[in-house]
Amino acid sequence: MYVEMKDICKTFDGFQASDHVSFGIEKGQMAALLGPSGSGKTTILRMIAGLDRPDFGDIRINGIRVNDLPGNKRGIGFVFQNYALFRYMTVADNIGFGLEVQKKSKAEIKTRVEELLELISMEDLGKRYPHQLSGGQRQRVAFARALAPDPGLLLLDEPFAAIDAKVRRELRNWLRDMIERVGITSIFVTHDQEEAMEVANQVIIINQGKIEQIGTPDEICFHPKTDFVAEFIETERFSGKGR
Amino acid sequence: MEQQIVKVKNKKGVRVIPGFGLSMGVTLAMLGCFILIPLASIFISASKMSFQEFTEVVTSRQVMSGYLVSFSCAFLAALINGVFGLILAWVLVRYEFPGKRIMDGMIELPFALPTAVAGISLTFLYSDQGWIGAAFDKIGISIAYTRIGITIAMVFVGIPFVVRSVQPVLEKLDRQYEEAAMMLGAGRTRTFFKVILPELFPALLAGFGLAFARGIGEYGSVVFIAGNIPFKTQIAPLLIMSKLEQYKYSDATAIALALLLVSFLLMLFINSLQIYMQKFSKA
Amino acid sequence: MSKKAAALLFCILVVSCLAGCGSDSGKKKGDGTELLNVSYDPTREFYAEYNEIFNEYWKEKGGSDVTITQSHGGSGSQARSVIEGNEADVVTLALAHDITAIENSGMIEEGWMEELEGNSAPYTSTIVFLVRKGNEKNIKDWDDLVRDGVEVITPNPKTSGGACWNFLAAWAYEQQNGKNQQETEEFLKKLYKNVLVLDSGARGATNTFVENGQGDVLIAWENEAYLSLETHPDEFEIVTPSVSILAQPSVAVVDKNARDHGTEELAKAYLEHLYSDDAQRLAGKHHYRPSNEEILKEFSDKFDLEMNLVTIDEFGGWDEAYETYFQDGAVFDQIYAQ
Repeated sequence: MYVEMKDICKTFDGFQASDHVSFGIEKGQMAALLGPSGSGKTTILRMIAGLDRPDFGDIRINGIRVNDLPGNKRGIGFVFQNYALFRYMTVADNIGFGLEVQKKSKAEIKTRVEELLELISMEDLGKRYPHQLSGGQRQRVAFARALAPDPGLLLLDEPFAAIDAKVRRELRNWLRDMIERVGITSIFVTHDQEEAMEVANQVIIINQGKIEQIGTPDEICFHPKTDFVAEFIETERFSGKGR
Repeated sequence: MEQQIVKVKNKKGVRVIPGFGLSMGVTLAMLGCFILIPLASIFISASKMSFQEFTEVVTSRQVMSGYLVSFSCAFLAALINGVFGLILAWVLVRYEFPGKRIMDGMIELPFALPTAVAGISLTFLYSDQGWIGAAFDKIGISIAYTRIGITIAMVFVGIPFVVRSVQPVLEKLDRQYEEAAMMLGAGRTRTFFKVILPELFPALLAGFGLAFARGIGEYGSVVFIAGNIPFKTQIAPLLIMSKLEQYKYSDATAIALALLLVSFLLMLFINSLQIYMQKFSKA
Repeated sequence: MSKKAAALLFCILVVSCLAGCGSDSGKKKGDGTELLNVSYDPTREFYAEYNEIFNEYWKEKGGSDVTITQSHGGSGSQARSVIEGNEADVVTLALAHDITAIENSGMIEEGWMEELEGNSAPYTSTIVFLVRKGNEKNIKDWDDLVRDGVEVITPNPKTSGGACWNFLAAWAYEQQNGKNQQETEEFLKKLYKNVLVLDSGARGATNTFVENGQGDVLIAWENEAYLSLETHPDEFEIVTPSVSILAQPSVAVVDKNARDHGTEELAKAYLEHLYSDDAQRLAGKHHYRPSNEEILKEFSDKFDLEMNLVTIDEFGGWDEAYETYFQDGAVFDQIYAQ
């Protein structure tokens, strides 16, 4: 197991956000944490990242217990829901930020940034500022920025929530292809079952802080283990977001 | 005609807040009675002198040295306020501790306190016989009656401007920026200087500008702690008072006008810088 | 309702403002039983008591009860406030110069100084030294102030009219001792080198010396020095130099305002009565030297009557003295010019 959550519990002001959560993700997998809003999926992601601390349980990455390791030492890339691009830095500086932290040489940073700009097909936009970019471009920059320091794990929090429905599908495919190309283990949070099914090869369904089912998209679709899963997938289909 | 102009601005023809005419009238009256007319009177008063007279007064050695003292001390004070005002705002926004509300309320005290009272008590504290001044005196630093004292008085009157400018921006600042920096491996120092500070910079600049302008114009509190020795610790507003004492009204307004112009240019510069920086915040 | 209404409202506001100001000045045009005395800082207690004496006297003479309002502040700024519209009926200021400034604005008629005895100065004062108890630096006279290591506190003559007298007193000392112009200037240069803090006003200087413990000697008006002794008993001593200057705080009716208020007679009587024996003694009690020689002698324990007091006339009158010494670029500025 590359990422392993064992018996994780977390409460916020008496609200049980995670209730004995356990799961594992193999190296190279693309996992989706799927659930309705308020189900506690983002909390799990934030605990893996080190942005929140579990009250109980172990988090292991690559076999090492990281509970006491601060987020900036875990070697994880994180794409925020609103991208959180640094507004006063150019695209290139945003992407190079994580490399600068590592005290890489200027030349090294430049090469790597150019490489990533090419990867996200934004070669000519390195000198732009975030406010000069479209939503999709911003997401691509956020993605490149998270990848720049070469993390072992990539976390994405509702990566498509802020994107126009029209371009969402396009971007979704792009992101999946990208991740496959880079070959990085990734976990993303979504409330959209279609998104989860299409992008991920492992889906973890969460409700009220508990895991309802873990499985491949097919398993979830055709063999829902609980009423909740069945109903959740069903309503999602009816809600018109479906294919 | 006029009504149309107003309506064009509002597509539905319905104003969200009623009483535009009334509030606009009050605005104009306030602006006119309390800002524009008094300011205009300064210009009119100064215009009684020829340009040559004006420059002669404004560039005389004593006045120049007064400007130097005022500007340098106000600048230094505004810098100090920038640093400590930021820290204060940070503590007030980011931490919870007992007495926080009281501390928050105390920030405005320099506004409420009559400046002369502030000046007298600061001098009392910082003279070589005062509690704080005595300690510094032992290591050979005198505070009261030096430019350090002037700067301290200006720090005192200017601090609320910085705190109150930065506070709301810091409150609204999305934590995601800090978290993003952290996830990219940055420590606290780098996160603060590279990520948070640029976000706060426009507000900090505004606070700095206000504190600086206030420092330049401050008379009541500074005059007690200044020592007022010509060419050493004489501030420009004191020279204005000195001219008034000699019933030289136009000379006094000439000095004031020069101060005003510099302050105005400064505020203009800061405002345009802020407008420039505002476009970044759209992302 | 829009810009027209806004403009209308603006006009209403402005007009009502002006009307408000107007009615304020009109209100006082009444029965002539209200008097505004615009004075300077240290006379507060004196006039509070004097007003009672005067009221009694006025009623005895068949007048009706009068309400006297006092206003205190720096002498110069008080004078400016009168020029700019403070409706004073009488002014009782520190310097004749300040009253002359009001005269120049046309509110006081020429020749006010001759209206009353002794240049319209019902009480006088002089410049003395206030030193700390024990007088460790052994300060006896003006030449002790220029010694190395003596720290002097005196206000800035450019911002405090009263402080001009401090300067002139030192000047007079040198002149009386037969020094020439250049020597005198050198002496004053040395003296002001010893000045630690040049406060903007007399009250500020007193505060610096008394409350903040700065300096060895405060050059002060005699009446103010006595006030410090009163408020801080056993902390200070008064030292009277051999030569000093006769300071004449002057009084005058502000003719224009008094005419408008119908208080001309009352105002005149108010100032004249300052020369009555009771008022003269009261002035002495409040540390001013009575102008009445007989009554002054009653206070010979308190005031050093042996001092050689030169008058402003020796400097050619106040206006000339001001021109010579305190105008921009004149003698005082030369002291600090490097």
